[in-house]
This record gives sequence, C-alpha cells and structure tokens, in this order.
Amino acid sequence: MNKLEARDLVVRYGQLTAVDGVSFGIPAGGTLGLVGESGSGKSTIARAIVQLAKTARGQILLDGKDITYAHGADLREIRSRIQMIFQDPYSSLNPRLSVGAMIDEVLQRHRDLTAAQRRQEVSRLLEMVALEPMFAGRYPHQFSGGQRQRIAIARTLASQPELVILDEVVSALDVSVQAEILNLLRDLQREFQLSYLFISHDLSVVRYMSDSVSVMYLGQIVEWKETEELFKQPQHPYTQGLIDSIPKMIVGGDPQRIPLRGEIPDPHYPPPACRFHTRCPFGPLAYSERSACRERDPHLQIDKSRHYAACHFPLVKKELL
Amino acid sequence: MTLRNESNSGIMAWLTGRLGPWPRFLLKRLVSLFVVLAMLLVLTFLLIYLVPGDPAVRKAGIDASAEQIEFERKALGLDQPVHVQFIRYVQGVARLDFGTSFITKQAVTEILQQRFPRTFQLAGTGLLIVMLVSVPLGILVGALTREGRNRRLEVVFMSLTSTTSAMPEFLTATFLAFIFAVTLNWLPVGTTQKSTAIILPAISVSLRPVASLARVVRLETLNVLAQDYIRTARSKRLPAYLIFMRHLLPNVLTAALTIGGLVFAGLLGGTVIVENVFAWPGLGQRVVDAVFNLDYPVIQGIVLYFGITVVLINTAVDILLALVDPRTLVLSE
Amino acid sequence: MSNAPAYTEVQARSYLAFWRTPFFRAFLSSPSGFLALFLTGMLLATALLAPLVLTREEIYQRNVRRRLEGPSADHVLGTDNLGRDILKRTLYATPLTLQLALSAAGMAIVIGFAAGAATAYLPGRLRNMGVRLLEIMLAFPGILIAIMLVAVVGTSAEGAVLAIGIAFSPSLARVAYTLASGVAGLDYISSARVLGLSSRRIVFRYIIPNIAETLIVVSFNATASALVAVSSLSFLGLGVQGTQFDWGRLITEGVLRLYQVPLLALAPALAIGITGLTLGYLGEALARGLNPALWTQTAAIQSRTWLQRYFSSEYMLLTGATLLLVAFYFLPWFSPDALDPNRTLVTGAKILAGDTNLAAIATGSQVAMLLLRTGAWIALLLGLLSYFFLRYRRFCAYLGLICGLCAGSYFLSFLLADSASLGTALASAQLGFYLGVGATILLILQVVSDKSRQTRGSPDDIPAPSQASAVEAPVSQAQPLLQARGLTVRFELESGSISPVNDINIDLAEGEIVGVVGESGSGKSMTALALAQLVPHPGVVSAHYVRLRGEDITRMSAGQLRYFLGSEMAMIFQDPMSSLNPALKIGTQLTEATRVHRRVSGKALRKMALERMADVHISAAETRLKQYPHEFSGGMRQRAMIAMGLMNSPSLIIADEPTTALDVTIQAQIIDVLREINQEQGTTVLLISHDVGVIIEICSRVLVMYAGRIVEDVQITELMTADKHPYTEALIAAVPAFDSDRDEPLASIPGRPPDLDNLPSGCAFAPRCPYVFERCRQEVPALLHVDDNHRIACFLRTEALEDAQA
Repeated sequence: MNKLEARDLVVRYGQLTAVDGVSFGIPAGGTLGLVGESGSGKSTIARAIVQLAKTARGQILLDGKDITYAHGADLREIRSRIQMIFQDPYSSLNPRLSVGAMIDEVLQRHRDLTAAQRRQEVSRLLEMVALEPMFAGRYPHQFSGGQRQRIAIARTLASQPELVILDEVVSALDVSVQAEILNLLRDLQREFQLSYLFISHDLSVVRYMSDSVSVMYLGQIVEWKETEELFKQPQHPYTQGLIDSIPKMIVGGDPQRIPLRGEIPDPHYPPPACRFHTRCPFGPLAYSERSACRERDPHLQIDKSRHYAACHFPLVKKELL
Repeated sequence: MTLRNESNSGIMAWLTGRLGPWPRFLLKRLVSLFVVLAMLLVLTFLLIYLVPGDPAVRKAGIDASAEQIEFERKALGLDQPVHVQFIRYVQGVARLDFGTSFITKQAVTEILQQRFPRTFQLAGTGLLIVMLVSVPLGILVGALTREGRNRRLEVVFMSLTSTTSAMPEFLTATFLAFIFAVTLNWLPVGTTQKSTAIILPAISVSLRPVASLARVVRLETLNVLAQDYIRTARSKRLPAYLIFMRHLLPNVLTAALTIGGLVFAGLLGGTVIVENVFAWPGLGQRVVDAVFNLDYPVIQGIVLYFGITVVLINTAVDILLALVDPRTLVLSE
Repeated sequence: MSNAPAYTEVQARSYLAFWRTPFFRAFLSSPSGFLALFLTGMLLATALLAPLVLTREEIYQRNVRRRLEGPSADHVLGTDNLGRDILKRTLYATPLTLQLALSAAGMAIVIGFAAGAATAYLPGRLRNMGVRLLEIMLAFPGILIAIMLVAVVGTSAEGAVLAIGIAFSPSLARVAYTLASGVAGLDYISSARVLGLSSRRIVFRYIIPNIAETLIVVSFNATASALVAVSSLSFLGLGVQGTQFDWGRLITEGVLRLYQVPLLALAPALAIGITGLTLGYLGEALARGLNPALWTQTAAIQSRTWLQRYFSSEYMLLTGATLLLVAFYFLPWFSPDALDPNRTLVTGAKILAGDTNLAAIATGSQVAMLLLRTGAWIALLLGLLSYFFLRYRRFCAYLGLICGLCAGSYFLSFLLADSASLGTALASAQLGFYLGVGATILLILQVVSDKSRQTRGSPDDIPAPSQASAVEAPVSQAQPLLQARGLTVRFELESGSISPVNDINIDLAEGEIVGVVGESGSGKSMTALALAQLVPHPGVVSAHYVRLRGEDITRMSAGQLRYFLGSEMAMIFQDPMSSLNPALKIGTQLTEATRVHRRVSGKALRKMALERMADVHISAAETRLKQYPHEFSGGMRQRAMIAMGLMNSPSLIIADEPTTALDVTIQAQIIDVLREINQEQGTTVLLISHDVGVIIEICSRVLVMYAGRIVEDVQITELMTADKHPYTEALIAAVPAFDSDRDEPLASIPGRPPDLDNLPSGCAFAPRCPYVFERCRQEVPALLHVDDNHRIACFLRTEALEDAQA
C-alpha cells in the first residue's frame, strides 16, 4: 500500500494553474522522485501536500485516509507524520533560535517527553546527523550550508515522521557536500523506514535517490516509471530530452543526444492539447502528420493508476527514430 | 460592495485589455487620480460634521440672536439634507468657490489666491534645493564610499545627515535666523520684499529632506554599483562617464524620483512651520489661525489646495518614472 | 523558607550576569550604544528629578527686574522676558514634553502596527485596496493632517497627542505591512508551519523576533518624529495651552525675542535635538542587541575588552563631534572672556590644581563653567593637533572623551552648586577631570602599542610570488594566447589578510576551451576576475605578468587597458537577469562597447548586432534588439550576453558559471552555443564551473582549483584515465553518475574546505586526503609536470619524478 497518494490534484495561484490534475503514489519506505524544470509545478505539489498551498481539486491520501483539507487536531497529527525539508538551508532555519531550541520546540509539540529527556533527545538527533551535541547552543549563522541542511534534517526527524518531502535539498550545496547529505538521507531512510518524496531538477541525483520517478512538465506529470526503466527506456520525448540534456561525463558530449528546442512556455498560457508539442523533437514540429499532439490531450487517454507516459507517440526504441 | 467591485474591475480589465501599455498606464493613473480627489472632497466636506460646535453659531458670533443664527444656517445651507449639501459643496469647489472666512469675512478663494503662490514658491524652491543638493551629494559620497572605501568619509556623512535629519524645521529655522539674520546680519528675515528673503526659509524647509534624500541616494548608488550589470559594463571596458551616465544615473534617479513626491509633500508640511518662524506670507499662518478659530471654510480650502497639489505632483512623478524606467509600465499591472 | 537565600543568590547572579548577556554585549558593540545609554540616563534623570528638585516658584515666579538677562552665575543660560531662569524652565519642561511625545508615538505605533499587520492578513482584493489607501494617506504631509485633526479634536495637549498619533500611524502601518507580508513568505515560517508549531509560537518565536529589529528602529524614529511634531504643534500654538509649557512652547516665546536673548529659543531647541539623537541611538543599539549574529560575533572578536573596542572605533569621531558641538554652542554666551584661551586656561588650571583661594571667591557654577571651558580648550587644541599632525583617529576619540567628562562634571557641579557645599562640587569636578586625564594616558599607551604592532606587519609586504614558478615552460604546444605567471589576489581584512588566488600560472592556447573547476571558495571566480582586472575592492592583484596576445596587461595604463581588453576579452556572468541593465534596451547594451572601442555606428553597427544575434540563434533579432531584458526569457538573456561578448570579436571569452542559474535543457543549449562559437570563430573560452559534467562535456583541458591554488592541470581525454590529484579524483567520484550502482553510497570528500584565513601548513588538501603522508603536512607541493600535458601539485604523484630527476 502506498504511504501517500495524490489523486487528480489541482493547485491554483490566482489565474495560474500551477498543478493541473496530477496523480501519484509514494510507496511505504520507498522514494518517489519528482523531476522537472523550474516552473513545472513540482514544488507546488510539495507545498500542497503539507498544506502550505491550497488544493483546488483532487485528493491527498495518507495511509488511505483523506487528508486534503485536514485541520485542527487531525492536521497537527499529520504535521508530525509528514515533514518537509527546503532547498535553501540559509533561509529555512530561524536565525533567532539556537539549534537546540529549534529541535526542542518540535519535541515539545509532538512528543511527550520531560525536559531532561528532550535534552537527551536533542543530543541524540544531532549525533544521528553527524553533528556534535555541543552544537545545540549555537545559532544557524555559525554553520556551513551542509551543516545547516543536517540541522534541518535533525529537526525534521524530531517529530518521528513517516514521510519526508525533500524539496531540492541538495541544489544549493557543493557536489562533495551533496554526496554526504544524499548518503545520510539514504541511511536514515533505511533506519527509520521513511518514505521520501524527492524533488529535484537534477536527474542524476533523482536517479540515485528514487525507486520510481515522475517527470513533470507545465503542471502535469508526463511520465511515471520505475527508475531503472525510466532511464533505460524513456517513453516520453520530454523525459528523453531531459536525460539528454544532462552532462554525461562523456568527453565532447553525447553525440547521440537530441536537444530540446526553446524554453518552457509561460505557465499562465500553457499550449493546448499536449503541452509539450511546441518543443517536442518528435512532435508536429518535426513530423507534420502528428497533428494529434495539437488536438488531443494525451492525459485523457491514460489510466492513472499505473505507470505511464502521457504521449500520443511514445518512443519505442531510440534507434528507430 | 464586492460585487460592484468585481464588475468594476471587469470593465477595467476589458478596457485595459484593448489598449497599448502607455494608454493603459495613463488610464489607470487617471482613474486613481479621480478616486483620490473624490476621497479628498468627501473628507473635507465631512470636516463640518466632525468639528465640534455649530458652524452657524460660529459664523454669526457668540452673542448673535437666534434669528441671526437661523439666517446663517440657511446661508450656509445647513438646513438642507446631507446629499444636497454635498452636491452644493462639490459645485462650489468646481467653481473655485469655498465660501467666506468666518473671521475676516474674506472670500476663501481670494485668500488662497493671494497666499498659496507664496507657499508654493517656498516649497518649490525647497524642492529645487533638495534635488540639486542631495542627488549629486548622495551619488558622489556613494561613489566614494563604494565597497567599503573611505570609511572615514562614510562616518562623517552618516553622522552629519543623521543629525540634520533629526532637526525639526523650526529648530533649523531658529538657528539659521539667529546666525545669518541676527548675528551676522547677512540675510533678511520676514516680510521684506527683497528677493533674498526666500533664502533662509527655503534652506530651513529643505535641510531635513536634503539630509534624508542624500542618504537614500547614497544607499541607492551603493546598491546600483554593487549590481551585476555594473560589473558587466566594467567588463565591457566602457569609459567611466558612460558607466556613470548610462548605467548608474538613470537607475539612481528612478529611486530619487520615487520618493520625490513624498519629499514634496513633506516640504509642503514644513512650510507651515517655517512660514511661522520667518513670518512668510503664505498659507502657513492662515492655517494656524483658521484651526485655532475653527474657521472651517478656510481649513477646507487649504486642505483641498494642498491635497490637490500633492496628488497632482504624485501623478506627475509616476508618469515621469514610467518615462525614465520602462519596467514601471509592466510592474504597475 | 530554606529556599529563600538560594533564590536571592540566583537573582543576584543573574543581575550581575546582565552585563555579560549577549544582548548587552551586542548593545554596546558600537560606541553609539554607550552614548545611547549615557544620554538616556541623563534624559530620564532630568525627567524624573526636574519636578522634584525644581520648585514651582522657581519656574513661574516673575522677576521683572532681571528680565532678558544673558548668562550669569545665578542664571546659567540667562532669563526670559519675565525674569525666569531659562535652563530651569527648559529642564522643567522635559517630563511633559517626553510624556506628550511618548503618548503620541505610542498611539501611532499601536494603531499603525495593528492596522498594518491586519492589512497583511486581509484576503487578496481587500488587501490591495488597503495598501492603496495607505499609500494615498502617506502622500499627505503628516504635520498637515495633524493640524487638521487638531481642528477636529480641539486645541489642547491631549488633542495634539491624539492628532499626531493618528496622523503618524499610516507610515508605521506601511512598515508593519511590508514586514509582515515579507516575513510570511519566508522559508523558515513555512518550515515552522510544516513542523506543526502552534500559531502563537510562530508569531512569538519566529515572526516577532525576526522583525523586532526593524520595528524597534522604526518605533524609535517615530518617537523622535512625534517629539518634533508635538513640539511643532505647541510651537504653532495648537498644542499645550494655559500655564503649562513644553519645549515647543518655550521656542515660541524664544523666537519672538530671538534678537535680544537667543538662548531663550536655542536652549529648548537644543533639548529637542539632543532628545531626538538619543532616541535614534537608543533604537539602533536596542536593535543591535537583538541580533544573534552580533551575540556570537562580538564574543569572538571581543578578545579585547569592550572599552578598548569602544575607543578604537571610528564612530568615536561622531561622539566627539556631537559633544564638542554641544559644549561649544553654549560657550560664547557665558561671558565675553569665554573665548580667551589664556584666561580660561590659567584660571581653570589653577582651580584644578586645588587653588582654594580662587575657589572661595567663585560659586559652584562659575567653577564648573571654568572647568568646562578649560577642558574644551585643551580637548580642541590636542584634538586638532593630533588629528592633523599625527593623523591618528584615536585622538579624536580622546577628544570626545574629554569633552564628555568635562560636560559631565560640569553638569554634576551645577546640580550641586546651590544645594550642597562648594567643596563637594569642586571635588566632583576635579574627580571628573582627573578621570579624563587617566583615560587619556591609557589611550595614548594603547595607541603607541598599536602603532608598534602595526609597523611589524605592514600591509604592503605582499610576498613576492615565487620565482621558481615563473620559469616553468608553458603547458601547451600551440601559440599561447594568454600567459599568466604568479597571479595572486590578496584581501586585507580586519581579521587578517587572505589570498583567494595564490600564486597561480595559467596558459591558454589559441582556440582552446579550458575549464576551471572547484568547490565554492576555491578561488575560481576570483581567478576570472583577476585575469579581467575586475577584482572588487579591497582586493589587490599582483602577478609577474599577464600576457594576452603577448602584451602584458599588468603594465598597461588605464586607457590602454580599456581599449585592449575592451576588444580582446569578453566576460559572461552567472545570472543573465542581473547582469543586464534592466533600464536599457538590449540593442543599446549590445552595441555600446563596439561604439566606444571600434568607433562603428549607424547601419554598420546594427548589421553587426544582427549578425551576432544570429550567431547565438536568437530569432526575430530586429524586434529583439528593441526590447528590454525583462521581455527576454532566462536562456534568451544568456544568449544575448554571449552575443554582447562577441560584438568586438574578442580572442578570449571568460565565462563565469554561465549555466548555473539555468535549467538543464537550457544549459545544454548554452553549452552548444559556446562550443559553436569556439569552433566557428576560433574564440578561446575559459569556462569556470562547479559542475564537472559540464566541464568534461565541452572543455579540452581543465584546471582544478583548491583553496586558491591550481592543484591539477589536465587534458580532458586523460581526466578519466590517468593518475590524478586525490582531490580531482574525489570531486569526480562525488558526482552521481548515470551508470553508477544505485545501492552503493556515493563517494564523498570528508571534512570541509579550509578557511582561507586559516590554511593548514603544507598541502591545503592534506586534512581531507585519504593518501596523506608526513611530507604533505609540512611542504606545499608545487604544480609539476608528470607528462607533457599534465601537471599535478601532489607529492603522491610527483615524488617519484623528483627522485628520478635527483
């Protein structure tokens, strides 16, 4: 059973539909990767799950229970079970609270512990993320980016969550620090059976972290597959384009790659039918007979309960095209 | 309320959707101009009801008979229903007729026409001084103290400006009058007809805004100089005058202009005080007398005049800003 | 009961500890905090004591025979038109004035903050209307609104307070609105909500502490403005009425007699000025006290005592200047001989020396005045002398100190003069003066010791880059386009000097694409800026030479440099949005450098611009040239930046993280554009990036930087195969590769890059290196050839070679 499930989620900011009918599931103890360019709506999904953004339509289920519009005591309980870590470790920690105090207040809120137990727990949590317990008295500005992200992780673990949403948690970090944080996250997942929603624009990081991956484009999920399968055999041209865009450590670049044209369109005015047809190297721009892309929305024809690619002409094998 | 608002914005959206950026911008400015003017009219009209006591009694005088008071009430139109009074008031304002002063029995329009030009002259001269002094000063000090250079100059500048901007107008005015008029006897004070008479009042009224605007301009200069596009301009090896005139100045001027409207409003407020110190024959003295005697036709007239001036200046500043900086057109939406 | 002593003990300890709390340390971290404390104390003491010490009789009793007198021993600042003491009246008005100002400000703050915060939480459309309304209200002059309101509520002290409270609230509401709506969207507020913290906790632990600083500064400034406004109303006769008087009203009386007794207006005016300054300083100091960044910082920097820091700060100039101003403003009115240095000095010195004869004939206030003059003169002379001849700022601090102590002792003796004995007054004045002398001696000692310390470590002795590296052969066989030798960038900071780029050699051949890679802080961007001669202040670039096309740019005049680099070198920066001037059309920005350096204009210039736009694949270039940067998308802007760089057909393009701010698909496009330009126009590219993948994809050679040095210089073709520097190895391994095993943990580099101000001796990477051995910790490895196209700075790789050579 899925730890968290989203069904036909729609989120709007005023006139802008940031997330438009998205469904996915996060397996218990597993990781779903969510990948896409800026403006694709991936962070909005995260914010909708933790109710930082208002869901306009659709459902969010935690262990099968609808939590879309939970409030009061329900919401408080959910807050302890679903946690989120933000991209920028410099702005996600309150500069006015010491590290110990900010972990302690989460313990106070969600755990029934005495003051002495809490103090012990703070030390234990800091050790768990490989920080010295004596750092509890320090303030965020005294730490480096990687250390701050560790503090954010420790604070998150304080409420003993079941699901953690990781929103671009390593994008602001150097590559060596990034590796450390990713390793730590995976160790913690194994230790506490955590479920992750791992959001990133970096496909190679997503590949390393996720069991299955959803690719987003302009507020919709265009492809959803097991990680290995997705990278070996992408079916949606956008997925293919994203994979091709990543530097592959191949000298002189990958000669076979097919570059994407143009840039992501203004999300206020998404193209009709298949939203990707204005950039698709296999769509009506290249093959005039593929007018279906301009006329019909491929999303309407797929069964959202299983893995899919929202494309009228999914890629079969790279060599064929 | 919400509904009307919605339909209203619907019409606006329909209208603006069919216009280019400039007409759209001007239309919006015009609409907000009228909204503010309408608010001003309502507020000044309400002044009669807010001021304690019966205006008719006040106009007729304390020892007037009941008939006299009744006569004045009719003359003021206070026996009419409120909306009729308001319409009359608006019509009066449209004809530039604000009634007559209770105290001097002079037509308010006449008072305004005599005195407002002098106040405007003072505030205008003040604004000129403010702009001419603070913008070059701020830019110069900003350029000299960029990236933490010349710490000493920065300290001197900061302490000078903070001291100056903490000095109230009447304090500056008193000091200046004492030094230049009393001790040194260089410049005249008060009602003389000499053209130099404006120097001291204008300096007094502008000193505080000069200091605060110079600080803003310096900060903005530092801010612009730290921008990436200045580095780009330097990487293109443009000569200093081009970097300064083309890349720095317009962006700094935008900031200076943005608060220019507020500065002018502040200057108008300052004139009230300074005019009283220097016996400058503007509206400052009249407004105090009027408030003291609750002579509200005069108060209404003065508030309207000041208000309309401020609103017009602000609109002018907005339009000027849009001319200087094309982003304003887009951002204002 | 047994707990009681322990309780008081705790209390006493916490009371003592107050002076050591982080808040108070930060409060005093700038001298203005000390000043604020001093001035606030004076002000409060005056406000509390004045009504107790001064009798109504003294204040209101008329004495027409002594009207409009100048300063005298009886009336220190002279008398008003009814023969009343000006100073006493000014002091007496303190509590009322403060009370009015504080109530008006308090009202404005309460109304304003409540309205502002409420506006921030209104739903969309209502909020817009609220903001609009605030803006309209803000456009009207506050004092004018206050005057109108006085008409409504009536002319009285209460009326003035009410009017100002209302008139000033819109500006405070605006601030509160901006802060509240700004903070609500911040990440840490979001994370607090996600953590499930209660709203009350979020408000009191997250929002308020983070906006408190600004609110405090704004509130105190508003109080100062309210003081001015209340005084203005009183001055106009619209405030305090009847027999009551505040400073504003005193000024009204004074202005009428400005010609006869200037002090009548100046004394209360000065009181307003000083109070305004006090409020400003106090607000700033309180805000500083609340900033946790200063709590720890001051603790760290404060190896010296706060007193020493206080005197060493440049802000002391301000203190000195202010106090001097205060002291000297009063001087001329005391007596005609006040400005006679001889007389003042001699008399003052005699009194200080304890000449009781002189003291016996003088009253306490006369003595005090003499002391003040003496002190002020000594201070002025010494201060000017030292400032102009020694040019040492600490003497300015000393100047301020003496003035302050003189003023303090003067004040004290004035207070005691009438009530207590003359002896007490004299003693206290002398005590103040000798304290000042003592402090001065301490100060001079400190200055001297500081000076001797400075001469030992003069900032000019930037060590010459090592000669050995200069003679090394260039790496590349092809025609060298750029050769830099011993390139060093040095920053002199308060905490010491650092070198983000330390003695590096770079060779670029014609037509190469060379990458520079490293973690943040490795000095790669600074290298680019150093080559372009664009290092920000106070960085200093030094080098044996930097030759571009054979010409040494370190020896060029500013004019030559501008022309030469303007046409030979172009730069592309990380963020294309901020790197383009938002107020200028793309066309203008594209062409301006060519217009200047090549004197091309008109049609020819436009044609060139269109061609360059085509080079970077921007379609509809005609219209694009007329657009502004905000009308371009992110990738388009970076293309425009590249086109701009190409305008003068430079031989070298330095691209500093040109794709970092862009999406991956756009990154791929920009990389293609750069490669194309390199291939078609033969332009050399120096590409700085933190992304090894990007470097491998496009570059032919890569320089790896660590802690300001190049640790490896290697051909890309050899990068994946040859023996590498351990750092390079680790850097590549840390990138999650596409074919890696997902079950294995990622390779990471333990530890952190060293701080530049605290580099380890020996190899900077040694503390993190898995292969470290003894020599690494003692010597800095040189960048040596391991084969023709490969240089490494690592003993592990070069030791064998060294042995072979030996």
